[in-house]
Amino acid sequence: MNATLEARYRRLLVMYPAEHRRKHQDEMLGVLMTGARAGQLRPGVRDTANLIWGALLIRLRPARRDTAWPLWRDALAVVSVLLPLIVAAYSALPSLAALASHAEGTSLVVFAVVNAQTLGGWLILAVLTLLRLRRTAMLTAAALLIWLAYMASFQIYWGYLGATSMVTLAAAGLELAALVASAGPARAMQILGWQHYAAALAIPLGLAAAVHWLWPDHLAVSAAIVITVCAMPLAGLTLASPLGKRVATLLALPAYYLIVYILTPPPMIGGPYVSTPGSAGPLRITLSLLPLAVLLCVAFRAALRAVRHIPASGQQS
Amino acid sequence: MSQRPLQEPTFLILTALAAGAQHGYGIMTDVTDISAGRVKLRAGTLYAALDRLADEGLIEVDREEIVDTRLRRYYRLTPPGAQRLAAEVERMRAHTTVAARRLGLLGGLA
Repeated sequence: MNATLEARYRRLLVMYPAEHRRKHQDEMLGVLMTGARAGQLRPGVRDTANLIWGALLIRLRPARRDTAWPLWRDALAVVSVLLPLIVAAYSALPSLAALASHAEGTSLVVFAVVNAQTLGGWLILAVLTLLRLRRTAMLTAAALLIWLAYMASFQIYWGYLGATSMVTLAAAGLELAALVASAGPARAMQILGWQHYAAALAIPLGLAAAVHWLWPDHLAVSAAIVITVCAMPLAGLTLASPLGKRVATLLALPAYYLIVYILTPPPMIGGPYVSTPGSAGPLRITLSLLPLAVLLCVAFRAALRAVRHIPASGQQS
Repeated sequence: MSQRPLQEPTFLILTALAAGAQHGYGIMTDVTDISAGRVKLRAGTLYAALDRLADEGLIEVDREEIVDTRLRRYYRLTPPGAQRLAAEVERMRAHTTVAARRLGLLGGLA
């Protein structure tokens, strides 16, 4: 009776998942058309807003039938174990080198102390995840994130934001999100084999050594490269599977910082340990903090979902 | 009870279906009646809720009819759905009883 309005409603329903449309589209059109005023040509504003809201609710719902989410959860579980190993292995070498050569200057000592604290955090995380202590690891990751954010806040204050800070900050955010959103180390260890652990330790150590001697001025950017480079073989070891691809995608997050830091002007003048405040610019700071915000949103949502599901499923460990 | 309280639209949808099987538009008008016009469900919210409730096994499809070339799918409460609603009524009754008693006490003292 009113083809125009129906066609417009039909177009709005495209927002819904295909499966939902197959089941409910005709029904929903029926309800919408029954509720329409005589001679109405356009979907009402409130009905439109409500349809968008309904589509969001359905798409954001913890999917029972959706196969994509369990894979991502497994990928996050794997990342929660591998990431601390990679970062700890990577930062071990510069820390040792800086400590060994502390006679060269005080700034080196400061760097070594700060870096050692960060390294300590990651080492503790690595041990905790290997011991499958998901909750404790979660709290540690949160503490590390706060500590790193506190350190980075000084840099933002000086209008300068180093790539290393952002990479480690993002790594801590990713670790927290991975622990919160997945079943954690217990699940990861059903998937991982000894070769994964070996690769997670050997590749970053080797790369850190190479970078440290060949390319010492670019320690900052190298953190991003190392974690990214690690992503590929590790994901390959996790089979050339949908799961492996997802692990690679997650571990490739630091590559984002490479792009941001290449595209926005360099904040540093001088050597790697001599920081002269430059102007980082709001663009760089915004782009740097964006993925972190996304990660925290993921973690927050997963935490909310977990809290809701504790009474129902009782599967929380 | 370890179950979360039902949200108001969900509660009203289950209440609407407690009287017998209804189709989508019927549920919408019934919910408006039950809540004395305060809660107006719209299609988006309604079908997000129906889909979830069917997933959780609280409601199921009763039958389908074609009226004026339009599909009408009737939903009904399942036994677990009826239990869930009854548990919710019990929970709310416990709360409202205490609230009413305390308000009554306060009124008596003032």
